[in-house]
Order: sequence, then structure tokens, then C-alpha cells
Amino acid sequence: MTTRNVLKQCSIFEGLSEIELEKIMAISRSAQWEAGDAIFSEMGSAAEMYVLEKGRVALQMSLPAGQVTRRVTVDVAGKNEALGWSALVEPKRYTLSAICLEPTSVVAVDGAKLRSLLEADQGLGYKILRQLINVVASRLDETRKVLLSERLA
Amino acid sequence: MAGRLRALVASEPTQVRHLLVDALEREPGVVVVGQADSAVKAVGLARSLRPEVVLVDFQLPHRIGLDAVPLTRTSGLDAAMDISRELGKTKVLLVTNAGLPVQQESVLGKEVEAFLYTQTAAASQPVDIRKLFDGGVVADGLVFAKLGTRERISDSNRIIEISEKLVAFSSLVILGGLGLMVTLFLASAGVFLAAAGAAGLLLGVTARVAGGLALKRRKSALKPEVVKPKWLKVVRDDDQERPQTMLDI
Repeated sequence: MTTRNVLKQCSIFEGLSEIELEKIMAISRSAQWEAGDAIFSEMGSAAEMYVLEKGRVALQMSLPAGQVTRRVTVDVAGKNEALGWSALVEPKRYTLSAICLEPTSVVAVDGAKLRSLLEADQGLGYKILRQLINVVASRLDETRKVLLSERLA
Repeated sequence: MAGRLRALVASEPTQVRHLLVDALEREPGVVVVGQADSAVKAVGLARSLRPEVVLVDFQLPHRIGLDAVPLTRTSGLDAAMDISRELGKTKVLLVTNAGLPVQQESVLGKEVEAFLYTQTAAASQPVDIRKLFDGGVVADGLVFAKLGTRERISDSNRIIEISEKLVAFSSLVILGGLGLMVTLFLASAGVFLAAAGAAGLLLGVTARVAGGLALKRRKSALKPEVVKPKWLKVVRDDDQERPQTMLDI
């Protein structure tokens, strides 16, 4: 699948014109990981946002459990889903870890360049951030469920 | 890891658990000592049974025992990591696509219904449980593997292949039939048109002959005849009557 199609099928870039998609493509690259690899780690510097082309990725958060820290899965992202929205907002640190469950292919969008693009073209910025809020809200909801289930366990 | 191996299998769907058990027990000396359908049960069983090998389906749900509360979440990876961390000697294998059809060529015989394999960029190799950490992808003490179900997939593929051929053939037959129907319709119309033309021709010829005969008969009947006009009556001067006109004849 081409980078254009991967971006087009991601909800965050839904409704963008061909010219706008071209701008996003210009600051994107393809990347691959094996099962078990971490695409990014919690609290790591958020340099890129990712759109999954192939594979499944577990999004985990750390929870202190006595002396040790456990990692619990908040969500499992699949094809066409976006990861790493932290690259677009301060303090530019990932809030979760992304662990590949399968061999995974992604389109990685440069966070700094995307932020500049959104600032320069506020129409585009509004379209993308409006969709991004849905992703953030969904992850927040999943996190709330995880915390509740951990508390009840 | 010589001798008998005790294994624990954790997956929610019974069918997938059975496939995993079959894939494990295919290897000589491997005995499945426990099965779990949730992450909490899997971690609990692993703690109490301390098996040498644990197979965990990544879609294993984390249940908290309150069915009315919709808090089920996917936590196969969490359970696998917990078991790996707590039981250092236990080999943990995370199955990432249990229950999904996978087209996978294997070096195993055709009698094998399900098998585990690790996937690399170059090739896919079946997992040898006794050499769990010698090959495959290892991360955080886990091996990531897939479950192949070849025989089932082959059957499904065969059914799909046959049905696709049947659909294509049937479509061609329908098209051929439609073509034949159009041809027959046109042929029938042609027969009717030809019959109508022949009838018209016959009628025309008959009418022409009849017309010719009638004309001949009429010509012979219309020979010139000297007819003295009846209305040319000589009126004498002494005749007081009004002159007779054609209307009086």
C-alpha cells in the first residue's frame, strides 16, 4: 500500500484534500519493526506520530505494583490506526509504550514538521486536531477502564 | 530442556485452546498441565503449577469476576510479561493471531492440523518448543509466535476456489443463454417478417393480375357508341311549353 493510501485511510487525516495529503506525505517515512520491538517508550521524547499500515501494536502504561512496576495494556492498535499523538502536543513525551505484537509496518510522520505545518495552515490544523481529539478521548476512556479494573482486581 | 515438559495454555476461545494443546502435545514429552481462559487465571495457574512452558493468546481478556461491569480488556501481553517476570525459568510464548486463518507452508506433514511458527522477514519456521529461545523473536523474555491452521485453511481455500470457479462458469452460462435467447427471438421475428412479406407479395401479385384483367374487360366494354342525346328536343315556335332542360329528362 502506498503512503498516500495509508494516510488516507487513517481517521486523523480523513477529509484532507489531495494537496493537503501531499504536504503530510512530504514529511513522512515508512518504517518496519519485528514482533516484540518497542516503537516508542513511555516518557520518551515524542519525535514522530505513526499510522499503522500492517500489524498490531499493544499500547501499555506503567503501573507501580509494590516494589516493581508492571506494564498493563491500555489498547491494542490495528491497521490504519494512529499512535504517538504526543508528538503534536506539549511536553512532547509519549504517555504510553507501543510494543509490536506482530511484524509491523508504519508510516511515521515527523512531529516537529507536522506542528509547523499545522501552525502555517490553520485550516489543515483544525481538521487534523479535530480528529486527533477523538483518538485522545478514546485512549483516555480505555485508560480509565484499565485503572478501574486494576483497582477492583 | 530434556525430558518431560509441563505446559500451560491460556486462550479464551475453547477451540483455540484445543488447537494450542494439539500443537504443543504433538511434540514428544510435552504435557499440558493447565488451561486458562483469562489473564487473571493464567497468572494464578502459572504461579501454582510453575510450568516450564506457557502459551498465551495475546487476545486473552483480563476479567475481574464482575460480569455486570464491562471492564474486560485485552491483556495477553500483560499476563505473558507478568509470568515471564515472576517465573524466570518459565518459557513464555505469546501467540499473536490464534484463531485467525493463516496461509502457511510448513515443513511439517499434512496430517498436522495446527502448528506454531515464528515469522521473520526471510522465512517462517515452526516453533520447536524445546529450543524456544534458540530461534524466533525474543523480547522481554517472550517469544512471539503465530498459530497456523493449515488443513482447515486448505479446505476453506479449496471451497472458495471451487465456488469462485462455479460463479464464473455460471456467469458465462447465463451470458451464453441470454445471447441464445436474443438470437432465437430475432430468428422468430425474422420468420414472421418473411411470412408477412410473402403474404404481401402474393396479395400484390394477385391484385395486379386481377387489376389487369379487370382493366382489359372494361376497355372492351367501353367501345364508342353514337348516342342521340335525349334532351335535344326540337321545340317548335308554336309550342308554348317552357323549354325542356336536362333536369326534366
